[in-house]
Amino acid sequence: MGMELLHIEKTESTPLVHLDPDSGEFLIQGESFPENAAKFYTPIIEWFKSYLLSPADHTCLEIEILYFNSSTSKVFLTIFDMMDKEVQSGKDIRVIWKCDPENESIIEFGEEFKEDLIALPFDIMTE
Amino acid sequence: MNTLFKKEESIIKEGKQRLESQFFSTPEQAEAYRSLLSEYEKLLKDTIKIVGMADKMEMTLKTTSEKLDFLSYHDALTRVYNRRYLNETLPKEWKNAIREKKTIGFVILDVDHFKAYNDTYGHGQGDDCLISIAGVIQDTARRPRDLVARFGGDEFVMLLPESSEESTQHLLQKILDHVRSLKLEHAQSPFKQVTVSIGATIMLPDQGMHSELLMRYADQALYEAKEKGRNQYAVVIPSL
Repeated sequence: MGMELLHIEKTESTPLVHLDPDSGEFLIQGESFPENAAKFYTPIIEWFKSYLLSPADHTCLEIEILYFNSSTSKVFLTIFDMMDKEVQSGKDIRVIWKCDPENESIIEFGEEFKEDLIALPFDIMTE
Repeated sequence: MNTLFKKEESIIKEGKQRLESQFFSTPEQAEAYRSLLSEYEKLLKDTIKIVGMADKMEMTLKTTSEKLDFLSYHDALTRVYNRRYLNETLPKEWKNAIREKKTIGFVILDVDHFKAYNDTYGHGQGDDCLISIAGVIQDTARRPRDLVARFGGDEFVMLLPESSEESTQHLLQKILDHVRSLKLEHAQSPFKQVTVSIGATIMLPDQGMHSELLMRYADQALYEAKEKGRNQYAVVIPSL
């Protein structure tokens, strides 16, 4: 495939990002309110675009986010939209939206993201 | 759809009308336009969603910040003001009393034999006792500028701007009576129930006097009340 693993350590304002192209297991975890969301997320979105050209047999993106800003929600919508299109063309991709059962807003936001998806499996997990 | 996005919605409506009104000379042109329009429609939907989520997030943050504000000036257990708030308010009221040539009252109250109460009934019940006492004090402080604060442990204070000796004594008697009527059992106390001792002072402060005097006289009064056997109040009016 030739894609390289993308790993970004978490900071106070950006999440841990771990995208392993070989296993198809992806993780975004932490808080997301980067000062410049475009700068932080553009390489990630580009990575996804390339990956989705020839993804692993199974892809699972796990997102566990405690707090995110509006720019981040735009990024999530973009990524989910790309994935949704790929699933419609037969790819095996799913999203796990993990949240603390006490954090009602994050659960609600997961439901909002899920709402407009056509084919992408989107599981909201509270545990 | 969201009425805040009227302009965007009217653009979509207009685009759809163009598609219906044979505006395009070839089917390819129409198709390209249709796909562009539907992309726009999807992005608008996303934007509305993002704005909605941001609004909710801000609301959550606002509520959290209000809670923090409250906690920074209130005692977490009893919900009356904390020492920090008292420390900020006392100098202001003191200066105000000097400027307006008005009296200012100060009260210190503690629960009689509270350590023995805690030892006998446990800290949980000790906390409940403090909550009840705080409730009684708060209920008697009815005027808008009256301030009730937990000073620490089982000690509470009241700041009473523009109080007369008579009204203060009336208020203190009311606190004693209401605490007694709570009838909280206290086996280790000679009264066999929870009681309080109260010391108060009323001053007409002058330039050059320090607000610490309030605390000093109220403390002296509290000491007197305890010396005389607790479960009572004493008032020290300094002759200056």
